[in-house]
Formats: sequence, C-alpha cells, structure tokens
Amino acid sequence: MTMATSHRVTAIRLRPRASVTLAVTSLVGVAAFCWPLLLPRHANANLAHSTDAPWIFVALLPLLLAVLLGEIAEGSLDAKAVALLGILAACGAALRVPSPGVAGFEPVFFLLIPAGRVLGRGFGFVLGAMTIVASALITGGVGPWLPFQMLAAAWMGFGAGCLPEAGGKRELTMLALYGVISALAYGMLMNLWFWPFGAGTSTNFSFVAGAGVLQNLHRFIFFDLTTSLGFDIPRAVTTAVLVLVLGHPVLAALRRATRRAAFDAPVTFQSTDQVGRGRAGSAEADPGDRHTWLKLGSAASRDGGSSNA
Amino acid sequence: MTAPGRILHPAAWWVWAATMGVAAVRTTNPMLLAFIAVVVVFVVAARRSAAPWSRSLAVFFRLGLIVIVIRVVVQVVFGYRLPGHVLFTLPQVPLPGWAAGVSIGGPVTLESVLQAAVDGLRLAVILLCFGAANSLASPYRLLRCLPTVLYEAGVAVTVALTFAPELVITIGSVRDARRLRGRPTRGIAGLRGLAIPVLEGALDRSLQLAASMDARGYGRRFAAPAHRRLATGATALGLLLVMLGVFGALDPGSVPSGGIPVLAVGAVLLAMGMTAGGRRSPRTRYRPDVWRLPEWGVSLSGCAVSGAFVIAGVVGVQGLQFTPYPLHAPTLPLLLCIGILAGLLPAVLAPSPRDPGYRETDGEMLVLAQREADPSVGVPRVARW
Amino acid sequence: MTPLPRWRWVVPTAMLIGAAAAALGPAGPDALVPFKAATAAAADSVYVALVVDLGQGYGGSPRVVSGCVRVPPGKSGYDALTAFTQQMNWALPSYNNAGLLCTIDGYPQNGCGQVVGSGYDYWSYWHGDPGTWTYSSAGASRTMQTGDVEGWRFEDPGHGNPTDPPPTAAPDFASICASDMTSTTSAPTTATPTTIATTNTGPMGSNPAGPAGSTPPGSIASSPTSGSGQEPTNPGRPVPGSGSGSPTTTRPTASGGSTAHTGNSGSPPPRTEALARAGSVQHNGGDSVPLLVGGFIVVIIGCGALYRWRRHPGVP
Repeated sequence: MTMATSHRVTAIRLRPRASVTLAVTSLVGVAAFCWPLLLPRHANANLAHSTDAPWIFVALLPLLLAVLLGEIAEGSLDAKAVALLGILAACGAALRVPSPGVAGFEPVFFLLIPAGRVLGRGFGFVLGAMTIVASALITGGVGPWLPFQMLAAAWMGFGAGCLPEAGGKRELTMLALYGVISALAYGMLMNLWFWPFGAGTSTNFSFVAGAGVLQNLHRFIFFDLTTSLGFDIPRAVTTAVLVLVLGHPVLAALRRATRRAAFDAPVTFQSTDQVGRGRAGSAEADPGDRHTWLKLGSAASRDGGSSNA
Repeated sequence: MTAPGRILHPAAWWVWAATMGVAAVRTTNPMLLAFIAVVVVFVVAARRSAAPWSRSLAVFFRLGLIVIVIRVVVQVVFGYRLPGHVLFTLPQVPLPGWAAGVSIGGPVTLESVLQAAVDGLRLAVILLCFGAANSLASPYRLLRCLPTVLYEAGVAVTVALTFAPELVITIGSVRDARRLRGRPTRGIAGLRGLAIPVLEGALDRSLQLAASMDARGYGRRFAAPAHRRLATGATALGLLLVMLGVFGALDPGSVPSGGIPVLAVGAVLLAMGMTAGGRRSPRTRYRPDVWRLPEWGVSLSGCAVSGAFVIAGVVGVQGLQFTPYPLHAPTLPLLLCIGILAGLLPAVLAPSPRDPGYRETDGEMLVLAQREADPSVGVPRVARW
Repeated sequence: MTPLPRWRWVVPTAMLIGAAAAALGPAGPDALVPFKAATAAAADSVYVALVVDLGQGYGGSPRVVSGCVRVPPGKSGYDALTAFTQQMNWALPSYNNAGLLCTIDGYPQNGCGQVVGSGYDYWSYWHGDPGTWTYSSAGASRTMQTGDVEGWRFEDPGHGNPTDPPPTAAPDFASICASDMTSTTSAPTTATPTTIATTNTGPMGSNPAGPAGSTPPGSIASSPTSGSGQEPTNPGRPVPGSGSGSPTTTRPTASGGSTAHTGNSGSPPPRTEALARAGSVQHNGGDSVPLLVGGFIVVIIGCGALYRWRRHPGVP
C-alpha cells in the first residue's frame, strides 16, 4: 500500500448516490444564494411571493443538508472519520468563537483548507458544514444564516480537496491563493444572502425582480462594495497570512495523523483460530489474509491502495 | 401541569418559534409585528432557564436593531426618490459613468424611512423568534433528538461540543507552559508554538477517541432494510420534485399550480425516504425526551398563530400589509391580534424553571439546580466560554 | 458574564422609539408635503404635459385624461404625476415596496401588478416624442424638462415590454400645454396646485387654481371650495427634521379622502367617490380605536415581559 508518495487520502468516500445528492443540494444551494439574480422577467409582478423566497430556502436547505449528510454517512463514515471530524470541527469552532464571522476576522478557513487538502474533498465538505454547526451551537447562535453558512463553508472545503497535486512551497502558495479566493467568495456569498434583507427592494442597490442577471449583478456589486468588502478583505488577508505562516506545520501534523489513522487500509477480519498466529484484524494486515469470519455486507470492506477519488 | 423536573422537548420550542416566525413573514404591519415580538419576549422571559444559552435572546435582539439601522441608512442614502413628506435633503453626489443608474442623495421622505424601518422590523422580529428558540431549547438535547440517519453526524457534532471547552483549557495550559519555559507567546513564533502543539494534541486525542469508539463497537454495519430500494426511489423522486419546486417558486407560471405545492410534496418524500431508508438500526435512545400534552400544546399554539395569518392572507383581511404610500396609520385587525395571543400559551403550558427539582439535563453537563441545592453532588463543572 | 444591568438597552431602545414616534407624529393628521414650495418665478418652472390613460378595461369615462402641470425644476416624473393628481383633485398615486406604481386615483382598486393570464396588470410608463410614444422600462426618475410629455397607461393585461399598447392620446405638448405656456403672466405664483379649505400661510398664494389644461376634462374651476370634502388641517404645521432652507407647502390631505367634487363644468367626473376606497384610504378617527386598543395590549404585555425578564431564574 502506497502511503509515502500519495498525498491524497480519501477519508470520506463519496459514493454515487451521495455524489448525486451533493450535486442536487449544490444546485438548490446556488438557487438559494442567487435567487435575486435569477428571477425571471415577469416576477416583478409577484414581488410579494418573491420576497418569501429566502424563508422557503431557510426551511428547505437544512432538509437537503440532512439528507446529504445521511447519504454521505451511510457506509463511508467510520469511527476514525467521525472522531477526526469532531475534533477538527471543535478546533475550527474554537477559532471562530472570538469573532463569529460578523466582524470579518475569520480564521476558521486556515484550518479548513489544509484539512480538505489532506483528507480529501468529501471530508472537506463535511468538515466545513460541521465546523459551522458546532460553532453555532457553542455560541448559541442558530439563525437563519446557518444553512447558508454551512453550505458555503462546505463548498470551500470541497474546493480545497479538488486542488491539484503539488508539494512544498508550491503547495503553500497554492493553498494561500485558494484561501484568498475562497474567503472572498465566502464573503460575497454571505453578502448575497444578506442583500435582499439589507437593501430591501426600494433602493438603488436593491435587486430588481425580473431585470436580468447582468443588471442585478451590477447592483449587487455596488452593494458589496459599499457594505461588505471592508470585512471580506481582512478575512482574505488573514487567511492567506495564516496559511503561509502556519501552513507547513499544520499540513505536516494532519498528514501524520492521517498516516496513523490509515483511512485507506483494507480492513479484514480473521477467524478466531488465526488470532494466535499473528496480529488480528490490524490495519497493517497484508492483503494476503483472505479470511473473513464475519461479513457484514459490502460496507465492511474497503478498497485498498492509493486513493484518487 | 408537567411533572416537576421534566423539561420540554426542544423540538417543541423550535416548532413554536418557527411558526411565530412564519406568522411574522406573512405581514408587514408594524403593529402586528410588535405584537408578535412582545408575545415572543414574554414567553422567553417566563420560561427561560439559567443555562448559558438563555442569553441568546439579547444577542438576537441587538442583531435585529442593527439590521433595522442598516436598512434605514441604506434607504436614506441610496433609496428611490418617490414623492412624499420630505424630512431633509441629502446633497446629491454625482457618480461616474460606470455607476449609471445609481443616485446618491436627494430628498429623504418620511414614507421611505418608514418603509425601510418596517422592513427591518420584520426581519428583526424573525430574528427574535430564532433567538427565542435558541434561548429556550438546549442544543445538547436537540442533538439527542436527531433521527437515526443523522447518527454519525450527530456523534461528530457531540464530539466537537464536548471537546471544545477542553480545547480552550488546553490552549491556556500550553500558553502557560511556554511562558514558564521562557518561550515567546506572541508574534509569529508564539502563534506557531501555540497552535501546533494544540493541534497535534487534538489530533492524537481524536485517534484515541476513534480507537475507543471502535473498541466499543461503534460503526457496526447492519443488514440493509428490505425496502431500501423504495427508500432510494423516494429520495430520488423527492430530490427531483424539490428541484422542480424551486424552479417553479422562482419562476411563477412555469410550473403549474406554482412551485410551493411541488416543493412541499418533494420535501415530504425526502423526509420519508430519509427516515425509512436509514438503516434499521437497533439503536435505542437513553432516556429519550417524551412528547406529551405540553409539547402538543406548545407546538399547536404556534401553528394556530401562523395558521391564522395564512388564512387572513388568503381571505384578504384588511391591514395585513402596510404600505406607507400614501401615508396613514396602520389599521389593526383585532381578531388577528387575539389570535396572536394564542402564542402566549407556552408561558403557561411549559414547565417553569422555578419548579423545585427542575433540571436542565440528566446530570451530564449542567446541573446548576442540583449543585446549588446539594453541594455534595459531584458533578464536574463545565468551563463556560 | 458580568451582570451588566439589563436596562442599559432600554435607553437606546427608548431613544429609537422616541425618534420613530416623533417622525410618525405629523403623519396622522397629515400635512402632505410633496414638494418644496415654489418661490421661483414662472420662468424657472418646468411645464410637463401628462396623459393618463386608464386602460381598456376601465368602465367609466373619460378614459383618457391629459393636462399640463408646472413643477419646480429638478423634479422627477413621479413628482409631475403627483402634481397632476393634485391638480385633478384625485387620490394620490400609491406605490408598492419596490417602487412600482400601483394606483392612480385609486384605480385599480385591488392588486398591484398581479399576474393575469400570460401577462400582468400594471401601469406602464411612456415618454412622448413628437408623433410617437416611447416605452420606458426604467421608471419615472428622470428630471423633467419643459416640453416633456409623460404618458401613463394601465395595461390590463400587459407584458412589461414595448409591445404593450401606448396611451391613446397623441403626445402633443403644444396642444396640451398651449394655454398654460401663454398664460404665464396670469397664473398664480404657486407651483403646487392646491385646494385649501382654510387660509394658508407661507409663501404660497391663496389662489388654489393651478394651470388649467386646454382639454375640458383636465380643467378645474378655480374655486377655493373644491376642497370641501377634505379634512381641515393646520396649515403651516412644521414637519420635524425638514431642512431649514426649504419652505414646505402644506395642504390638507387628498389621499382618498376627497369624497366630493364640486360640480365644476368639465371637471373630472366624481370617480374618486367610487374608487377612493382603494385600500389605503385615510380615515380620520374611525380606525384608530383598534390601533389604540392594540397598542395598549402591546404595552401591557411588554411591561409584563420586562418584569419577568428582570426576575432572572437563577437558582430555584
């Protein structure tokens, strides 16, 4: 089993059903964020119903995220992944406590991006969502922004897992660059969510239902410039600086833990009479062992070897 | 009305708060919104406990005020200039060509400020409902009520919630250790020296935790339930209908009968697929929260309020929507106000925190009452952060 | 958490409420202040021709109303429309939250841009060029110049694009505004045509007649009693916060309360009687009882909540 050369580990494998659910949830998420831009021509007439849209999504997104997490967890989330998820989510939540994202300094990304890079995009996705949930529950701030923040952070973690192979300094610069982009994108997404509330429909910066994507985007960029960029830029700069300064040891620590956890090791079971002959059921059991005295469906066995999901 | 010492199921509080929020979404009348707000605040004041999360309402209240201020300021500076009572006039700022279509400054009318304030008020009331749910429902109890399908995710969040205070303590101890050794605790070197040991300790901890979970049989797989294909089909159909419903909700007229019914059917299918398709695991719950008459009463009171608003909207009751053009005092449908008073029921139905023997949890995390009453109870104090 | 007194939030909240109440104060018996008053001489004002077409589905008559208004310079098309409705003794136009024009003179009674069939009912805005009407989808925020012809037509239903039918009157500024432009010397110095029941103060002259349109439906007699259906008000009541440099005009409200038109020859038929109850009608005391009762209940519950809040559960 190749461990030293492969930088990529799949801590959470996304099965086809989970991938489909992820795609659908992301599509609905895009609609949930961008609905002011996407309203069609004659929606101006039914503005009363259009402004109900954010509340429909506030109710819909948690359901979709629950279905998605259920799908991902089914068969792919073992004890190691759960424990690692929980602990890393706790670290991220602890980083968020001093500044719950409102004032702009949000160091949570600097942990999310290396974790997504090392542990794969499925893990990055789930870690982003879990970090936000944990920090919300800790600070007692479960608000209508929560499903949107979960989805946005999950997308950031997913993207970190999709970055190409690189090593050393190049990897750090790539991660820092991705940190800047993702922090700005996160800020823009959350501002897009806040746009109908902050500007209503009766200002020059509001969305005009039915005016088309370009015109509404034009107005949104103005709104973003005047209200949120002052928060987004410090967040992006903080993320980049932290990644550059702390990225190397953090990546090393995560890789060491991943090696020890051995996510991709084949798990086999030995019958009891073989136990005395060698270490039983250990992660380092060589693929020669061919006995399984308890087969619990296909979920019990894993694909061995290098990962590249 | 309830057995002393029993706390209300947290989902009941969330249902009540969510339905009050739905009622607030359906109206723009400032008087009705104020009504909903005081009802919500009263129930919270009457039934909140001494737990740390009971202070959330104040936070959300402040957040609501900030939203109102932001909305009014944006309206004053950037709003459409429609005729009305002019309060004052801002100097007009000419903008460059690429900002065409945007005008800053001009006469600020009372109507526009009122409209912005009422918009912000509506959002503030909805935030208040969320704050009420946060204050009244224990997040730990909520995690225990998750459906089976979300078991692993729930465990991960529980691990995070349990570990976070210890993390804070660890950070403090690492900083003390470094200070004792004369190592820097500030600046880049200090940050590096602080963050990396904490992270590595946390990761070690996680692997220990994983080993102990495995040793206790966590992660047992169960045989797939018989009707798995049905559940998969229901989930797939539900996803499809949800997408269609979202499209229809955004584009009225594209989907027959509007998007909302399709969305609702899709959501129901998803929920069914999720609960039925989850592995038929023989997991049991330890001391599950019961759902009895008080929970029904609390949930249904909220549903009654939102139902009244929905019906009022359908019937066309005067005064549900308020536009400041032209300017007039808002009319108040009195029957609807009586309906809102139904939202006060939880203040009576839910158990009071002042009951003797009221306990926040079953002795796991936070037992203020017991500890204060009987100091010999050896319950570890959780660090509050 | 240090026990900061909870009432520290009462003070800013009370200030907020006080400011809101002060701002809402004059909104009751309403001094309607649509523009700054005009001390400008006649030469400075802008003449705008307005054509309002109430659409195919309008059952009454006349269907098309046109007239000339004089507005101070720098005003938008919305101000011109408002001046026109005042001049015609109509209910003021109402808008929805997005700035969409909902009603002119209370028509249509219900709905604002709602979907009907494949299109929707809405007020379309046209700009008149010589010989033709140009559809405008940008709203009427443009600054008016002398010679502008503004058209409003109610589409029932329309599609929100230039294929919708334009107003059926010709966009001819000269014929609509001819008499006004030539009679500048005899016109009163007011720019806002007002109908006042009591004596007025301020720089406005007491002659309420505005410029009369040349077409019969657009003219009103210069009778000071044409405002007989309106509530008395205190003219000159100051609006708090109004700029010190802008003298404001005050006039009794006409927001739907004008239930009677004096029988002026050629004046618009009393359609406001039937249409004035378009939802946002100004009442003078009939509706304030539920409001007072409701406000009282809110205050009671609020005080109860505050009291319970102070009694922090603490230790039982």
